[in-house]
Order: sequence, then structure tokens, then C-alpha cells
Amino acid sequence: MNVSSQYALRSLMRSTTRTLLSLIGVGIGCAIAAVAVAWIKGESGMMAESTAMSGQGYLQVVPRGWQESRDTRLRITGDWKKLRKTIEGVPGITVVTPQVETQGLLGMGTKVQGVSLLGGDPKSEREIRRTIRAVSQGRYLQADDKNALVLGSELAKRLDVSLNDEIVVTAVAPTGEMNSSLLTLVGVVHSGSRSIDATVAHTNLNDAIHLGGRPGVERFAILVNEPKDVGPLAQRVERAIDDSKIKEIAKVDTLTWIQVNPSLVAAKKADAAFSNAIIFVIVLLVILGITSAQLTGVLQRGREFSALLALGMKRRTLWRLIFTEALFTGIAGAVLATVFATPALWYLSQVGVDYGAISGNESGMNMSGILLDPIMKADVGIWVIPFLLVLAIGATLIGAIYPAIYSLRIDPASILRARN
Amino acid sequence: MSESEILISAEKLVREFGHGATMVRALRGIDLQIHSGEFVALVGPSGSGKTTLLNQLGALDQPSSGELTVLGKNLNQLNKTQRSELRLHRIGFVFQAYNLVPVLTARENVEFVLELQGVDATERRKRAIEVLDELGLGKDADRRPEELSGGEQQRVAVARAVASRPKLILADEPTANLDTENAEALMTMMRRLHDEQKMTFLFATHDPRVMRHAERIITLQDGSVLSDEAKEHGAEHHTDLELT
Repeated sequence: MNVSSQYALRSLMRSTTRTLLSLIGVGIGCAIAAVAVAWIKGESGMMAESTAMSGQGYLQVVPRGWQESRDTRLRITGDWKKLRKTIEGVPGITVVTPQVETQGLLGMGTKVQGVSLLGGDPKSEREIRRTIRAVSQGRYLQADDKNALVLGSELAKRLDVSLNDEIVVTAVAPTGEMNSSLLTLVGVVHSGSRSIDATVAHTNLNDAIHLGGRPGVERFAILVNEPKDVGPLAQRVERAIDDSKIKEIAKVDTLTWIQVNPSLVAAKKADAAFSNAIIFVIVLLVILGITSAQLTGVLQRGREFSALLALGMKRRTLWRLIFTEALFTGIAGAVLATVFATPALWYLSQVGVDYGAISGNESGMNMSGILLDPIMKADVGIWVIPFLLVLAIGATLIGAIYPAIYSLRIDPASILRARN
Repeated sequence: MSESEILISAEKLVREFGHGATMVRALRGIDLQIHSGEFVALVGPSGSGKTTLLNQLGALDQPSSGELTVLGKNLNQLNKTQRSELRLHRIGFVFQAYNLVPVLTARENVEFVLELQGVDATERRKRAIEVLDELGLGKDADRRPEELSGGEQQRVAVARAVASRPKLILADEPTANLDTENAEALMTMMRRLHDEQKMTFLFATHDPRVMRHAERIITLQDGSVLSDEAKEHGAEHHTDLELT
């Protein structure tokens, strides 16, 4: 290490209390910022997963025009089974499930409930929809079921129905005529969210298509291997569909879960913006703390610096000295931040925060029809180390800018004259 | 006065501080020439302009008017960086309060200036140890200033000033904080450097112990040169100003 660097390092040790307080400030500030970012990342990842696993998938192939109109009457017509196989053939795609939703009424005796009846492929639907995995009575749908129905526990309770009861399902066809069928209750599912359990009404795809009176499927919900790569994957799916040239298939769009749920993403962005604002304030306080400490150091060493300037040290060397001190502070601050942040990050990533216990709804929380995991966890990875290093060093270097500019005021001639 | 190379040439040098009614004229048209290899004392009472003149000659400050050439450079034509370069490579400074870097050892204090000059690590370490040895500080090389006496600190300051063998050494009241024994030892040492290495020394002082060693004494009063006398080395110099 050259003498300049030793000078910078030892200068930090000159006022150990001030340096220690600066380091603690940098450490705590950067640790809070790292925890906040890990939390936001965790929340974002969990939201993506919850959205996908609520039956929407990470990607959806929808009829062209749906994204703008959100018109549930639009259908993918033609050889949609071949289309499904085409999508399944794209590398990175794990599950493709066709879905149809039909607005209708369920009637049992004197009781009636309006529902959105979902028709799907039972096998793939169970893979993509977490809310139907816990069957409290009977069973879930099977591929060869006909006129079978599965309800959420709350809906079954409101209709006061039991297994094997025949329930009248009525829907309105495109012609305006009423379509009614008798469906047999084969199972009751329990998601843990009362509001979601009040909406679950599932039947097989063909029964839903028949009731709705519209040919084709409403969408394909898709799971993928790498949720972070949904953007490029969507493009690959589109290319595969274009290349397949399946006859009679109306034009389709491939959308990411973000495009499917703009309001959810907007809420998430607002949440992240708030968190970022807090991080900004924390980092600003760290910067101001460093500025204050460094400025004090420069003021206290005015005579020393003026002597060195008199000996021929250039201003840029003085700046380098000040920034080297800031760099050392930043590196040590990052180490301290890692020490401070590790327990919190470990707890939040391994144990998490149980919002279910806080809200009294232990199995999950409903947000826009999406069942969120009640236990929220931070997303912690190797990224934390470079993040803390860049943040701590960046903050301390920025904090050193004003003291460095202030050092320009040091006039060796006048200070020596005054001191002598 | 020798006929050798002129190191410093000042013509009608004026330095004013402040403006209007509060303006102070610290230097009032100084004319001066210092030749290579001289051992000069700049004397005068407090406020006579010694330090102000030294700051001018050391390229630490700009004159308000007049011409000043130091080591062949017209200081009026140099920018701040060029003046720093001149000080770094060709002028050595010794201050009254030593002004060593307290967190560096004696050797590192000397090395630091050589590092600023761009001397490589091995060479600067060798030169720092050599010059400290030369000044009798070899055993103190790894001690910090706070562990050294005032006399030792001032010798380290001299080592720092002469390590790069500059042509000109400017010293501002170098013995003011030293007792008689240390002051005498310091002056003897500087005299030896002057004799052996032909360095030019210019001291701002009102210490008779320094004047005793000087070959030439320039007396300032109220910002002007009152007298400029050459004397044989070792000859006593007595003026009323000594008692101020």
C-alpha cells in the first residue's frame, strides 16, 4: 500500500469515535435498504407466483383483441387442441391448460348463487390452480367426468348442497337463450380464503363450452420453468404459433401475467415506489452523515492540508485522499451492513412474516381474486453482497463530494500566515 | 554577493490585502535578487512582511503587482497547477510548526513528498532512509511525530524538504519553537546541507541564532527592504531588530 493510502486509512483511525459512528450510520442505512429491496423482490416474486398459481399462469394465449377489450365472449376457435400441443412444444413451457369461463347461476332448491363457471382440463388445471388442491369433500374433477361440478366450500355452504346433489346451472347463450344443465356435485374444495371459496365453481371444459354456447376456448393459461424470463418466452410462443400455421385458428396474442393484470402490477409498482422513496430517504441520510463527518475531517486538517499543498501536493491529490478515505469508509460500511443485514435477511427469507396470522386468515389472502400466500418472504441471493458494496461505496463517495469541493477553499498561504 | 545564477528576482513587488479603506499593503515594491548557493536570512519585526514575502517567493501566493521570477519561472505567468509543480519539484519548505503529518512515521512523511513527485516505491524508501540517516534520524525513522521531540520533528521537516534535492529551501521561522541547543543543531545541520549540497536557503526569522549563521541578511520594515547586508559566515550581526 502506498503512503497516500496509508495516510487515508490512518486518518480514519485518528478520530475513532467519529469514524465508528460514520460506519454504523452507513452500516445501518445500507442494511435497511438491502432488507427493503429484498422484501420488495420477495413480494414481487410471490405476487408473480401467486398470480400464476391462481389459474392465470405466467403466460396466457388469448384471442386477439382481448387485451384491449377484456371481452370474455371472445374465443380461440378452430383446432385449439393442435394449438395447445404447439405451445406445449416450446422449450421452457411446463403446463398449458385451456380455460373457458361462463357467467351463470347455480340453483339448488330455493337458493341461487351467481358464479363464474370455469371449465378446464382437470389434470392441468390442478397443476396451475393452487386454490383447488385442498379437497375437503369428495374429489376434484376427472378427465372423463360429464356433467360434474366442483364447488368452493363457501359456495357449497351458501347453496346448502352436499356431495352427489344435482345442481341446476343456467347460462346465457350468445343468441340470448338460456342454457340449463343439471350438474352433479362431486367435490368441495377449500382454499382458505372465504371470498375465493365463494367463487369456485368448476366443471369440465366440454360442459362449460356447451353451457356457454360459444365454440372454442377462452384462453390458454401457461406455466413456465423460468418466471423471470416470461418476456422472451412470450415472443418464442408467438413465433411458434406463427410458424405452426394451424388452419382455422383465429389470431391470438401471447400475454405475460403483467399484461393480464395491469391493475395488480400498478398496485405493486405503487408499493415499490413507496419503498423506494423510503430507501432514497435512508440513503440520503447516510450521504448527509458522511458529508458531515468528512467535512469535519477536512476542517480539522486544514493546517495539515495547507502544509501539504504548500509542499506541492496538487488539489487532485487532495481530492484523491478525501475520496480514498470515503472508499475505505464505504468498504468497511458495506461489511458492517452485511453483518447488520444478515440476521434480518435470514429471518425474512427463511421464516418470513405471516400476514395470515396477523389478519386471522391463515390459509391465504385474496387480492383481486388471487390467493396470496399468507407467509411473505424476502428474496435473498448473492446479489445482496454487490448491492451493499455499491450502495455503501456509492453513498460514501457521493457524501465526500462536498468536502472535496470545500477543500478547494484551503489556501496554503493564508492558513500558514495565520497559524504562524 | 556571488555572481552565480540568479534564483530569485523580484522587481517592485507589491502585495495588498483587502480593498478600499481596509486595504493593507504588506509588501511595498520590493526589489530583490537571491543567487544560487546563498544562505540568506530575511529579518524584521512582526508585521514587516517576512512571511508574506516568503509566500510570494515560494509561489504560494500571487503578487498584486510587480515582477517575480523564481528558478527561471515568471510566477505571474504560472497557473495554480504549474506553481504546485514548481514547489513540488524545485522548492523545499520548512515551517515554524513543523507541520508533519501526524499519522505517518518520520520515514513516511519524507516518502510522502517523494511519492507526490512520482518517485517509485523502492527508490523513495531508499532516499527517505538515506536522508533521515544523514540528519541523524535513522533510529527514529519508524516513529510518529508525536513520539519525537520538537528538535527531531523539525529535523524530519528538513529531511522532507531536502529529500528531493531542491535548489531552493524556504524556511519560515524554523527555530521559533526550539530551545537554544536544538536551534543551534538545526542551523548547523542546514549550514552543512548548504555547504555540501550547494542548496540555497532563505529563512524568514527574527531569531538571532539564525542570523548568526546567515551569509546575507535582508531586513524588512513595513513591507520594504530596509537593508541588505552580506557578511562573512560566522560573523555576528547585531541590529535593533534582533531585540523585537
